Amino acid sequence: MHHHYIDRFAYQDSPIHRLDPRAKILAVLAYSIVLISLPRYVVPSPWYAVFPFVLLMWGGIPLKFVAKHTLIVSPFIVCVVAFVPMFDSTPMRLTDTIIVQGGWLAVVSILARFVLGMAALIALASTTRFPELLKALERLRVPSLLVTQLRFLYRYLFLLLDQAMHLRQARLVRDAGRGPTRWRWRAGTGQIGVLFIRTLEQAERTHLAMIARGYDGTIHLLKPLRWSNRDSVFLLVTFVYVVFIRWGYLLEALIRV
Amino acid sequence: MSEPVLHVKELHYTYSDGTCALRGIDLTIARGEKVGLVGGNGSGKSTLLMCINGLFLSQGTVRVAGVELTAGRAKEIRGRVGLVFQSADDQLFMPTLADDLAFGPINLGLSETQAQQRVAESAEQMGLTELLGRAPHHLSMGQKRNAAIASVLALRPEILLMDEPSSSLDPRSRRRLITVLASLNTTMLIASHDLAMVAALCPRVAVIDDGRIVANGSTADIFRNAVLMEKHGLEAWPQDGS
Repeated sequence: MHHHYIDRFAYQDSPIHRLDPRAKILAVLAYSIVLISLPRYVVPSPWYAVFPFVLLMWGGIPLKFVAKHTLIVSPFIVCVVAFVPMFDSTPMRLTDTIIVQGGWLAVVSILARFVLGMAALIALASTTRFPELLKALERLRVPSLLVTQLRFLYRYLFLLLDQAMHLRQARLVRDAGRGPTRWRWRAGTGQIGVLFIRTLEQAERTHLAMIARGYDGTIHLLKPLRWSNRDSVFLLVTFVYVVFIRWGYLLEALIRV
Repeated sequence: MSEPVLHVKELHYTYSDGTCALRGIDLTIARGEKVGLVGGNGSGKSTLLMCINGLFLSQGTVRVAGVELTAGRAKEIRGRVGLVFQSADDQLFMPTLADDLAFGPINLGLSETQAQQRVAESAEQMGLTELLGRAPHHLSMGQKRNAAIASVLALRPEILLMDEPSSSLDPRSRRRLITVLASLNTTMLIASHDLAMVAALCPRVAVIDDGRIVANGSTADIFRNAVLMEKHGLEAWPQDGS
């Protein structure tokens, strides 16, 4: 079976790919916090697009790929913001003559933040190999139980997708499309049950394989992550940038005083 | 015969649902010997391998390099017995090949430098050095199989147990696997339906049926005995015309 792997661009080489994953995680985290901290009716300025845009361009990630994956996730956020204008009718003055309903301004703000946040996250996931991302999370003291779960999810997700596809194909080759809908639903739920049982069996076999190689409840890893001056510079520049785009107006006001 | 590295005596195992899988297995393997284990489906091959590794606690005696398998010493035994599972996907559970090969050595208490050395050595033995940074799901089936064997070789086991090592391999990958296994000096017990592979690798073979060893001796003699082979769900090899 062939999958579109979630980290298929992560195996390229670029200045962004070569950065330590911890630096990238901390930079994207700082950027996300700043995005989230924007007041409800504030639409991010074009300066906010610089960070994800630079990561994506230097990382050689096609914008079409980013747009496609943002669109895939967008229904969730669209469903959430769709009701905002109904409950928020606060009048907001855009200019001396233009007044708009606050709810609509909030919708634009949330959608803009969503697109920017997704672009930054896709840039992170597409320029960092997932195993390295997990090692970085572990080194950043994220609870090891959570990291271990992510590790197994990444390892076995594709295997389960394979199994699900095989089951689907096995159903399709015997499905002429004339059976009653109720029967098809029943077959579909049966497949989910089979997949669940196979997942349990897989977990059992993997556990035995781990015990056979001395697993004692803790997963120990080789630690090849290396922090360099380049990573410190990248992180420093990002922090200065996010502080400037978020609180730059305060600096401007201070300078005027 | 040189000093036995594996000594199994009167081994019995019954699954929790009451299925009796092993009914008094006796088997001795000398250091450096490569022994085949053949038998039909459900004959007890995989269960025997699990019991020797200490994954299933059985009745009877299992002694590896003089150390008797008990519940308290199962971990020590697992450091001496390497088990390669039938499905490589069961065995490769870490996000990269390097991490997978290091998993066993680190659990044995080796330092990071020693573990890295073991990783490099076992990867070289199986021709995987270029693939160490890859995720297991980016490997071909043949590469996965070699990786599963390398992950066990990194433990430097005294005996290597393999469950159907050639299953799901194309002819070229299978031939490569046979060449690599033939080049290893490790003691091996290979459970397989692939009689040609067993004949190419193992001078001695044990036939298992219904949880009992029913024949044990020269591979050529046993494989040519059509009556014996057919009686126990197998076929004589080589067959006429092959």
